[in-house]
Amino acid sequence: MISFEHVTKQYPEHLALDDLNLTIHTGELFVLVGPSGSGKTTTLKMINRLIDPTSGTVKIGDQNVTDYNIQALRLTMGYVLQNIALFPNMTIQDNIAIQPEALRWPRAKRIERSRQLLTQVHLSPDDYANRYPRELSGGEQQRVGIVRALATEPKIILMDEPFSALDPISRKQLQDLVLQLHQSLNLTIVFVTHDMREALRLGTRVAVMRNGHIQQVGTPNDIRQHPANDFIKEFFISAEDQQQTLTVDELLLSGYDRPVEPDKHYMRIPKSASLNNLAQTLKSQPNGVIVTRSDGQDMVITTQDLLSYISERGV
Amino acid sequence: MWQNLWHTMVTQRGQIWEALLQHIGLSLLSLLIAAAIAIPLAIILTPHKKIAEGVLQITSVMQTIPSLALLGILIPFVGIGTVPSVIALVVYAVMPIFQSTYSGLSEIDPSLQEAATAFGLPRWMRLFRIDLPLAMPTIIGGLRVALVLIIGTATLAALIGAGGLGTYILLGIETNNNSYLIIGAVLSALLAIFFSALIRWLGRLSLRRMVEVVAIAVALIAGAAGYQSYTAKTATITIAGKLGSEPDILINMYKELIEQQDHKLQVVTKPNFGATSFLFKALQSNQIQVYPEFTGTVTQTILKSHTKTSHNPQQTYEKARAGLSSEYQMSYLKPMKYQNGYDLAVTQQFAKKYDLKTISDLREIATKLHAGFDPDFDHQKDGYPGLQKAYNLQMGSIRTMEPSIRYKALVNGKVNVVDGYTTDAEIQQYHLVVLKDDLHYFPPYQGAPLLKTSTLKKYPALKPALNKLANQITEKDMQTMNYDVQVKHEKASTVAHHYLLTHHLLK
Repeated sequence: MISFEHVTKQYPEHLALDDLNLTIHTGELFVLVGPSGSGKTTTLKMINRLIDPTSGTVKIGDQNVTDYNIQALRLTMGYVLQNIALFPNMTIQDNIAIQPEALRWPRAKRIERSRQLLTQVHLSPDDYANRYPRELSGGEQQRVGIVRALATEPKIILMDEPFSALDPISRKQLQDLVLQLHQSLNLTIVFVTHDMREALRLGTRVAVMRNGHIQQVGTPNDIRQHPANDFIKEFFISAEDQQQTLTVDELLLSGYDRPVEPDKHYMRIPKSASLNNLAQTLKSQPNGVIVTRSDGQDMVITTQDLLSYISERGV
Repeated sequence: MWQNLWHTMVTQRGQIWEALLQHIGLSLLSLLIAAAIAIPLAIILTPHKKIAEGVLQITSVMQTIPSLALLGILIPFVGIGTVPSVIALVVYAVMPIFQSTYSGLSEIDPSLQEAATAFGLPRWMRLFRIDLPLAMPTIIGGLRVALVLIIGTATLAALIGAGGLGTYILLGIETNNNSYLIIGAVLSALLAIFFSALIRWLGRLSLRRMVEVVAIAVALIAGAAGYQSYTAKTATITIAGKLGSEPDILINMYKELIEQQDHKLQVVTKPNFGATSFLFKALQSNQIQVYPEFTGTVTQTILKSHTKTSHNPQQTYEKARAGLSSEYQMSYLKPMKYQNGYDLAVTQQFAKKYDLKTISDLREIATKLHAGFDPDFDHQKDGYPGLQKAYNLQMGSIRTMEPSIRYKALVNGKVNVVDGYTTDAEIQQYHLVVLKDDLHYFPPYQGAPLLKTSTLKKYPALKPALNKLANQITEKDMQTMNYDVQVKHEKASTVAHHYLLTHHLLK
């Protein structure tokens, strides 16, 4: 259990957190969501003491975080950064094992752990262990960034907008990975994002923040069905705005498409067509529609594909 | 000229190799010390921006001190030789290394720094696994700048007896020998290129490998230095000489004579040790025990009590001897016969044509004379202006020219009288006629061994040994010997030995 009691952070220029009270339960995937400047990252960084409060206390269990040896405290937590921040001078294997190295694990054990973690996130250790970060795509790098946080089997993982710099496909895949890891490893994850859809998709509970205050804490359903105030409603509307601009291309990028069957007849639509447009067309096209992907390949999208997409993206 | 260069390289390969090794040793030692100071300092100060900027200012100011001035400042405190050279070189090298390390460390991507902090890495691990490796390309850049700076500046070490390739550059300038100049300059340039590439290669290694390589380099340098000081310790007497072939020949004679007198004495020669003031200071601080000095130099630059220079050689020697004894407790042994001072020289043909033997003989044909003078000689009071007055000479025309070109201009008939030194090898080389200074205008410059009186007491064999050269060696002898070394590239020790044998000074 992580608890914030009357926590305030005053910077010379502005008040970042104003009398924050919050409890994060063990085993939760807790999401802090809000626009920039809302205080969500400040809140997160108080848990591993990258930032100390001006007043108030942050506790892990019953103990104040300031009572721990600061390095020991940090070594018991995983941390995933927005900029990924893999060390460019180290191999993937050494990056993953950086905290074990600090804990003086023997080398053989560190290598074993790295390889095991790479396998767990579907990166072949033989291909990846000895490569350098610059040789990996952004999505692959953040995959490594996540397992680096898991290396010492910490109970708490902090994630600071980890997917905001990634493309939509990688983002979706990594969200799935986080959900899967959270379930299988019984972790407490504190996750910061400015994307309401991401928050609602991932969170066991979600805290919506604005200007250093918490607006509402609850399960995604609570927040969706009973938004506490106009700010949260507007936050939803802007998220839905984003949805309305979604196009067929988004489905293609996310991999919800299938190959063309040669003996069937399809209607063709542009990939820039909106999802509404797609849904309407599909009503009259039981075989699905044909779309040209950006790589020039013709693909088919069926009603089933659209439904899977919507159900899994949490529209 | 290429032939000349090749010949010099072949005949002197031993000394060139030694100078090269000295240069490398001096440069690497200075670089290592500078790095050992600058890198840890930058690591400590990187979190303290204001202090670091202050240190950067100080090191930049140190950089602006002219290197010769710095050497001059250091000599009273640490003497001459390797120590002040290394200190001066370190002073110059600290700033680029500190600056590059500091900027390398402070420009590390903030998100990587945040990651290292958030992971709770211990300080040492953060430094050696993350900060230093990430800053390494910048640090390596600074080290390369520092090394090139050091190798260039180290050529000045020759001025204060630390040896190195600068010896050849100074010697080349002093004796108008382009081969020496080229050897010194080209080798230093090649050295800079080679080591710069080596450091770049070093920068590609992992930190652990790098530490291993540096440790090996340190061990090698320490070993070489240890060996040198070990071998140096067996020497009881060190004889040094100024730049050029003449002092080199003389100190080889000293060595042979001393070793003949007392077999137990170990004598080491240090040719091309530097300029007058450095040699004299080295003698005072007992880093060297003997060196040949000219009477005129003693009376005019060494003695504090400036009196009017006598034109009588014996009086000048007496004055020098007495002054050295009372002011410095030094003994000035008996001088050799030859004078190494200014002279005027003409070609044999020209002398015959006008029946020239003395400088006075020039007076009658003065208006027809086209003189080629060294710029110093043309201006200095004891040069042409004084000569003009003393002999009442009005030369037809005077052109000032570089010493090296002067003799060639004379031989080619561009000028018909030049100034020179009485023992110049060119006198023999071109069969020139030196006109007698019949009015004794030029101040006498006689060479004699100079040493501390205490040294003389400690090694009584020195006096009889060195005095064997008293009143020996004529100007002609010296010209020939200089010719043998400078033009024929014989070894100074061989030439010296040959003279001693033919003059029955060796048993």
